[in-house]
Amino acid sequence: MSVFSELRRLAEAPHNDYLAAAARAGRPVVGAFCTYVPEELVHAAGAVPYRMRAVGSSGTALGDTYFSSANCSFVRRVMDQGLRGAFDFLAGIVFMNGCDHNRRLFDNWRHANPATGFSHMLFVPHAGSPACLAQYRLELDKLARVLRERLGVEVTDDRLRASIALYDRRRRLLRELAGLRRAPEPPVTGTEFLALMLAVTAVPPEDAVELIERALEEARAGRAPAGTPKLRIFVTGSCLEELSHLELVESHGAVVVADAVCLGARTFDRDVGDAGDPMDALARRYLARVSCPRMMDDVKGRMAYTIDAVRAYAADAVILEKLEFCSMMSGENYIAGHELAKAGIPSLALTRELYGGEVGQLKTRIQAFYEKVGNRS
Amino acid sequence: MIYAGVDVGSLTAKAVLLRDGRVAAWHVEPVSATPGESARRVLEAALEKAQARRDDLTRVCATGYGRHEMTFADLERSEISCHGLGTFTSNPVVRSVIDIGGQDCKVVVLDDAGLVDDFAMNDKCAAGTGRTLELLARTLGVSLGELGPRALRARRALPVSNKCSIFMELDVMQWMHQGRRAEDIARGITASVARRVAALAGKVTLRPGVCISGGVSKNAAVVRELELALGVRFVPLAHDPQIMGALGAACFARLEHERAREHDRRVLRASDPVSSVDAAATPDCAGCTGGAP
Amino acid sequence: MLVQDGFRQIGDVPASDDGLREPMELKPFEIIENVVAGAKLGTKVLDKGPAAWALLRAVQPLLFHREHRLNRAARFGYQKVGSGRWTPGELAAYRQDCIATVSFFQRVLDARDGREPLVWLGWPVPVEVASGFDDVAPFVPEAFMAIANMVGTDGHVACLEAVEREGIADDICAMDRVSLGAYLLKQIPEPAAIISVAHPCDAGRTASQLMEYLTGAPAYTINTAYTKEDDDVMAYSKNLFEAIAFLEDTLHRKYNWDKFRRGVRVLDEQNRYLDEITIMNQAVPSAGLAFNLQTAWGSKITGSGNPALLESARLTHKVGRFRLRHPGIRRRVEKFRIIVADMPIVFSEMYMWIERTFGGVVVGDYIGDAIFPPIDMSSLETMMMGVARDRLYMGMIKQAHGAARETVDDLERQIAHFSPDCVIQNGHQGCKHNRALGRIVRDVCRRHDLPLLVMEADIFDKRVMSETDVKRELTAFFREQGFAS
Repeated sequence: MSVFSELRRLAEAPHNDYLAAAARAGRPVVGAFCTYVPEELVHAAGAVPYRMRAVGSSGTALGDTYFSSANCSFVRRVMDQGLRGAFDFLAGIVFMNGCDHNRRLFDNWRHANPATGFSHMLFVPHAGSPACLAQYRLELDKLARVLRERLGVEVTDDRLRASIALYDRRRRLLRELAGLRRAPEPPVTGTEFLALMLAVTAVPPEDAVELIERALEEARAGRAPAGTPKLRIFVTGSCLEELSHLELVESHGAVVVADAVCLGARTFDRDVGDAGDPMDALARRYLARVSCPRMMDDVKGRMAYTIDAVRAYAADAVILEKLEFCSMMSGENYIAGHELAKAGIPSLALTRELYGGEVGQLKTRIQAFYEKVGNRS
Repeated sequence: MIYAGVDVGSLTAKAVLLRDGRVAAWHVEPVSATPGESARRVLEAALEKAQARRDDLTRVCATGYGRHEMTFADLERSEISCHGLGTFTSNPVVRSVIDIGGQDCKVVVLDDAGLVDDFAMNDKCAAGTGRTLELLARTLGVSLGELGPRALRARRALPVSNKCSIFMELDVMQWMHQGRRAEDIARGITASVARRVAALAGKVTLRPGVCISGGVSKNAAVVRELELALGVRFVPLAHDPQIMGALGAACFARLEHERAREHDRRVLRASDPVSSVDAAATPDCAGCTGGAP
Repeated sequence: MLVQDGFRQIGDVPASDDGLREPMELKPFEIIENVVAGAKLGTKVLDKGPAAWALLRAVQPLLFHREHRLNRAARFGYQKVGSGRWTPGELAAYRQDCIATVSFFQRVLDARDGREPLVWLGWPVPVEVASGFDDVAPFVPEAFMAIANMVGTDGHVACLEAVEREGIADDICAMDRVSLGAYLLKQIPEPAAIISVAHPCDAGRTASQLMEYLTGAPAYTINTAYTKEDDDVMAYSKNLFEAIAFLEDTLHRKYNWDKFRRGVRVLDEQNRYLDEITIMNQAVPSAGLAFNLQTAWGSKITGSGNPALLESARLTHKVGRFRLRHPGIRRRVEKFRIIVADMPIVFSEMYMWIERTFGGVVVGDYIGDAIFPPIDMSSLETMMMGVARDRLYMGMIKQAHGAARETVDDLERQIAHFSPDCVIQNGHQGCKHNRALGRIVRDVCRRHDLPLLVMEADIFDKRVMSETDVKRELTAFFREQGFAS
């Protein structure tokens, strides 16, 4: 069986056999809500880091008892899943002040108190200045203390170095696989890559490395699932975990060749390295890698990253993804639309609800956009 | 050669037949149980009007929300592209299209060949669509057809929110409770829908030569308010504005056929220097340059 | 941009031949000019003591009940001076706010005319960061939302529709969109520099970022404290020092630290009065000064450190003392007591209307609640810490920053101290964090057996909920809860 089929299976469920095996081996699983939560730190505390997701969500009925209709569908669905016991396998969750919705997810989670262990809020500054770096470093120390108290494992420098090495390896392998998508016939579609990202952030990193190596092997063996795409697409956004949505984006002969999303470049951009104090190095990497729109002082950096990547991956167009009610992506997409237009790169802003349907309208927009790009080429 | 375009939307199904570059027949009817069934029925009705048979059709292009269900179609195009090319074919000066349909609203900017250069489309909010007009007309107790003429007889426009159709309905009910003139409320409704559409138009840069299409274009009051809001006068269309999507689809059917022939010609030329294909037998749609600038 | 250049000449523009309500067209700086004119008029009229009071009472029938074509330009100003329900003492106090308003906005107009550079400050940035310069005009774009009604409530809508036409999504808070719209409609001058904020909410930081992009002005971002703990506030205050250094470098001017010290002393003294006025509202019957505190909140955002605001607080405090000594005056008015979260600015008269119509008195509200810790004057560092902390304790910032505890603790304290009979939440649509607190706030009210009304309104967008809608909803709630028949 192709490893991509296995990855897809792993991507489509909130829990999996790897996590069950880890639990049997006595390893706790700790959820993390954002790419600004260093998984290395959680791993060094003896736990399996698990990226929180709404995969398998059946609706928002329970989530809506806490959130309003003006809150984003990701937090409503995750809350719903949490209240239904989908994350009861967790020993704790590290929340993060990524946005107003996520920050209140922490509050509501604590109020509802589902059986998911401890809840900790990692406060990440909104800029990368030296003062903010120092502040973030202190927050990581606080997180290490909480993990020690909750899991009983001291995060020593040696343990942290070992975890950093493992995660750097995972990042390098992911970058290598992502790099293969530069080929005229990409060996991995965007949907397959997203499935892989969902899978490798839901299993122990040791298993993740093995899965990515198998994927690389298959990719290098010359597979081309979509042939030569009619259009090569770059995707930006924040929370994007629906395989069905990327399948829609990849309809009409288009293939996603690169991205700047959480479950993508933001996860594997830039290594931590093994030089100096490991906690300092960790703080530096997380504030220096390709940033999320929540970071105030890096708009130019994000725009430059997108434009460079569009050229490096020979993308024909960009899709700017946004979940409804995400104020930050509203601002970011306005700026990105204008900056991409200046660079002569066509873009389409899509607003959607997570697993929200409205497929007909989205299809029309996407198809019309591709027709428009086709008209210009 | 006959090319057919079939547009199955949320409320109506439309079919247009093109023969020798001209509209040979068209037909509109309400959608029935399934989009595929609606498409078949409306196409048969158009064929009957043109006294033609299915076998006479060279190519069929599907568009509209039901486009994926039309298994008999040779190709499909988005309704945005089809409305663009349809209006351009109907009046070659058109470069911008405001299309207000039953459940969506689109603003399309065209290049000089009638192909999409840019577009904007409403999100899931129905505030600037025909559905809203229908809902508010019902709230006001008048038929949809009557709403426009009533609005035109208004002395003033009572303020109606343009934020969402529910808020609009609340405003309408509030004016009704206060016993205000139905004409003035109707004018408020049409002005509100127009402002909503104008805001959507603000997302693109309109090119001169703006036309309006879609079912709502038959509402003279909305058309007038939109002209005010956009500061333009709409250019006329030679055909019923409701069939622009189907007309565009028929044009795409023709374009596709020509492209295929051109491709075959190239292949033949490459393999045999003496081509037997008659290169002069391409019909000409009024105004359509076949995708060439 | 709606149409490309020269396009408007091509189409025939049909004339608006009747009373069609079109989006309000604003002349550049029209709103600020109206505010300056209105505040100057207020300075003169409110000087007349009982005569001013009698005049404002006399015109009440023309201005109180609803906005219409004839009164829309005057009604907001009338609401700002208590809608004919303030006493001569309160009017005298508000006269001082008018003086501060004139001095702030006149400088903005002067900056427009090139007399000095203008610095935009994100709403939670202490105005001291710029007002400590001798020759820099501070401006808070978000303060614009509080004055946009100066041309009638369509002023907000005009700004919001300008943003919608620009293609900026409407899920950003209306307050921030009003300030963006004001810029697009040339209602506020270009900045020479911007001090942005990263917190307390996404909308504020997004608007900051859009402002930076649209203006192209050099910007410094302040990472606002997440908690009120010393470490966090210290980091925040360091950001404020850095912001001042940034402005010195960018504008090539020296900051006047003596002016800063003077301003902070005034601020601290004003805070003592505000604390006590807040506490006076706890009395039964209350001092009835919630709306005055809300007004003080607005004035403080733009004019912190202005001696006129200290005088305003002192005079309001005097009114409160008098009322507490003579409780019979307010006892006749106060039938039930209310805590309000975020009054809709599109209906500034809400408190007065509830009081007049139902005898309900707002005793505490999120914006006006003014309990500030004292400022340590021993050094510049401690004073900056004090200024930083002052902003974290200001209404709206206090509830919006950090964890839900900030809101819940406040509500619990208000319930414990103000003896309310019910709680009303505006349900501000754009306020994502507040809209995510429905269940938690509901549980707090349930625990205290307090009726709660959550309106689906918007603080700044009357298209979501108009004054009439708010009145209808409040009436139904008061009747349902037995406060009104």
